[in-house]
Amino acid sequence: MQRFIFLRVVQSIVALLVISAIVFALARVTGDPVAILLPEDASPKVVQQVREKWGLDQPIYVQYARYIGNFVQGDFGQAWAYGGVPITELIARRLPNTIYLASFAWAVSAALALPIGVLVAVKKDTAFDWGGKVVALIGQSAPSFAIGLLLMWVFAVILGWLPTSGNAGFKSIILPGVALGYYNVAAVMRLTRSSMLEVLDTEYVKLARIKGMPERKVIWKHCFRNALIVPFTYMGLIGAVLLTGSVVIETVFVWPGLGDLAIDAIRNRDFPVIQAVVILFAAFYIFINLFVDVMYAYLNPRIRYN
Amino acid sequence: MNKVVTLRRVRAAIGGVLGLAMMLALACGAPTEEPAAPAAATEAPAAPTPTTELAQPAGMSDASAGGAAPTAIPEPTDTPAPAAGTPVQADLRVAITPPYAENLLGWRVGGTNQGMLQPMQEHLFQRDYITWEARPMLATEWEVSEDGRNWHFQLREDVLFHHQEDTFGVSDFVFSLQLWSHPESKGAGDWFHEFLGPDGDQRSFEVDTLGTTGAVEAVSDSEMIWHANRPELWVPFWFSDATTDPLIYSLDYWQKNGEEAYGQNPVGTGPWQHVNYEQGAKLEYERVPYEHWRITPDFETLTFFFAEEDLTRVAMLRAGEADIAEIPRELQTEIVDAGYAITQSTLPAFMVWVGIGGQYLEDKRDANDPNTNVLVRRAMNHAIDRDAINEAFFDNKMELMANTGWHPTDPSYNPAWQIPEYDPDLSRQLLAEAGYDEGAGPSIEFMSGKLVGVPELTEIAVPIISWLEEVGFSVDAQIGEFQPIRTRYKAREMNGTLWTHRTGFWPSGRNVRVYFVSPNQQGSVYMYEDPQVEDQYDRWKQSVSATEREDLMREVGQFMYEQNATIPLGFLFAEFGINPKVIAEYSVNNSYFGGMKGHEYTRVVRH
Repeated sequence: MQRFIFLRVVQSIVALLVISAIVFALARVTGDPVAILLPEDASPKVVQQVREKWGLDQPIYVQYARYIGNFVQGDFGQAWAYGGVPITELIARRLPNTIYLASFAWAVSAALALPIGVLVAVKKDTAFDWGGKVVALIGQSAPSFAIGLLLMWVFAVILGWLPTSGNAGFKSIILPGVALGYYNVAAVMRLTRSSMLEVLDTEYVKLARIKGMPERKVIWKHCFRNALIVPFTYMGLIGAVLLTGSVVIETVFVWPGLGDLAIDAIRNRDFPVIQAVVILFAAFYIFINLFVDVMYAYLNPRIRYN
Repeated sequence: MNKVVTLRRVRAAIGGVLGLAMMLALACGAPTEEPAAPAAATEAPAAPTPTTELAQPAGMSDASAGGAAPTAIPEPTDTPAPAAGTPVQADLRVAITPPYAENLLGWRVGGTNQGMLQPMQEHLFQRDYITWEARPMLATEWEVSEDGRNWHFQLREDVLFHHQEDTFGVSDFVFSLQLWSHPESKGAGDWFHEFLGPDGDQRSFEVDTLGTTGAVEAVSDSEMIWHANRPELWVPFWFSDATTDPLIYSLDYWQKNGEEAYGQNPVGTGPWQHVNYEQGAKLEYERVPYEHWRITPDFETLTFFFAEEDLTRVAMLRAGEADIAEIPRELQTEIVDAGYAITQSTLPAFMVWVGIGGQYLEDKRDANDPNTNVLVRRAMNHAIDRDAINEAFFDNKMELMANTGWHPTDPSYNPAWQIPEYDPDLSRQLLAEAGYDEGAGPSIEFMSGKLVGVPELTEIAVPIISWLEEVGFSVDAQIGEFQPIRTRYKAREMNGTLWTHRTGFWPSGRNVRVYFVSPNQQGSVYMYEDPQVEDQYDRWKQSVSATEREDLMREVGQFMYEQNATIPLGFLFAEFGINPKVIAEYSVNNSYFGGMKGHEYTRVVRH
């Protein structure tokens, strides 16, 4: 087991290194950041000065080595476009907002998908079943930014119930949270449905009904609890997706999180910030996958990892 | 019983979800026509501000710059009379695209990125945004010596900085100069150094104690004399609020609190003081709590919301969360139809044109480059239908341009210059004269990328390319981002290449200095170079005669016009959507700061 964990940790570190190299190279393929960072009429002297300051006058492998050297010491560097603000400071300011939004979106996914999943399973092949599927399908097929703009238009502009954007209290998170969480409703709903159908067909449920147990109790106490295992496992995994998938939603709703920071950084060719955010997002994924793998190995000794 | 209750609940839930879906569907097809009135604006009269006619400002001359007059004591800007009635709301909320670089340490980001600080900052001079005349701001009187090298200033006294522990004085100006030219500054530090700096290659004024420098003689705390390295008549322009860098910082605040405090809670002398900044989201100001020397803003607070997405800003305006919003041209009709108004800048904000690369001095010039042939450049100019572009992409709001860099109001503009006529036959004939057989015109590269303010750049490239191909050019089109274009022209590597471009609206002298001279003349963008222009520009720079300077700049313009140095398209105005139930008057005086400037003059609706 220890050997397994050790190997998985090493693999994760290698994966992170590979990702960092890819991001580092791809960012530089997009062009010279100094052309964007400086005013158009900046003199050649200033351009040269900035190049030297940020190490852009060095060969790319030297830049990468320096970057990795600082990175392993926990130093993400300084944000060029923000006038040299430490990136750790930027991330520390933005990360809580992204976690808050992702958590809320996760809760929205659960709150919508689980009841609908139960309903469409109980009402299999009825109008409810079809209706539920359609609602879920819209969430999966429409891009989240389109859903977001639509929600903004209805609930902020037409009805005036919620703010269009920003981060000023609980009301502000509802629209971006729903827009972000809605995408996963279809998958969770379908998993809940199939899981519920399976449980509804078991002997102990039939027995409960024969004994005259109220239907509500049968469904919510005996079926739902047992059917939750599969959708909840999946919902654990989508936590990372929500955390990292908020880029567009944060931009549309002016939500000051990491996604919004990433878009700004891309716009400004702020390589260190782009690298830091992408590596952070990759680290979330890798960590969650690592955690799941280890938990599987721990909880289910029948699973063998070679 | 329980089953019935469960079913009811489930039905209610389903009904809710389906209701949501129906609302979404309805919303797609039927947006409301009426604007959502802001809470505080219910009793405000609907008084839409009409879209203004294209402004025709008087141009800036050396005389209006204050430089030509040996002694200039202009009148201060008129303070608007206090309005009667109760304001419909105390807060002014502006939704704009985020600045490129967000940082409250202005000198570290430089250029227009300092727009965030504009509401709280003041300059030595203020520009009149109709006439461009220099008016007193923090400098009340000024005088220039015969040789144009020594400038004598009287500064305004008792102007408080926002921390209210110090007033503006000579040392604050010098300290600001030191920041603008600091080695880590991204502004035009080299220019300040070249003009006022100490001898040698040192860019920073830091060789002196903070607040002092040999180039600036402090006669008293409110009187100073600059001893410049060369003549410069446009001081009242370069040190005014029309340009980007010369913001005034407090030496006292710096010494007491350090740079970090400036990054968290900066101070200035303007009528707004900083309250709060949430990076990537908003920036808040409030009216200073004392009587400001220049103006008391109508609104008590001023908040900028940074919204990248166009539709978000439209929604903010329509939901009553913003009173002024940057609205892209294609969405303006919808806004006006919904009862909002579009307001236009008093002066053009942008100059739109197509650069013809490869016209460099000998070191970078390629004799085989078709762009170096004046007949080819003329053919390019006559191949393009500017009226069609104006109608199709700009709703005829673009003021067509005859010569890139010269607006008709510029004193060195020549009224004889004509907008190149759309004449494909003439283009073909010119190409034939240049030695190209019909249908076998020159091969060129055409690049286009989006730029803030004029996102249509990539769209207008498409018909331009097709018109060029129609007369015989073979075009390799590259439409995408602007950044690779900037990288290439800054490196003087645009041989054989055309590109769509937009620049700010400036006097011709500034355009020539920045865009149309080589590195030899401290140019910085290198879009056109010619020995004759270099020579005339150099004479213009050294001259202390207003008439001679005007003539020289006209000669430069004439030469570039005859050479078809560029493909001029037109001037565009800055436009913003406003809620007429809240905003009684908003004059966009300069879009170069993306709508962050001049809000002390924005008037609220009162009842």
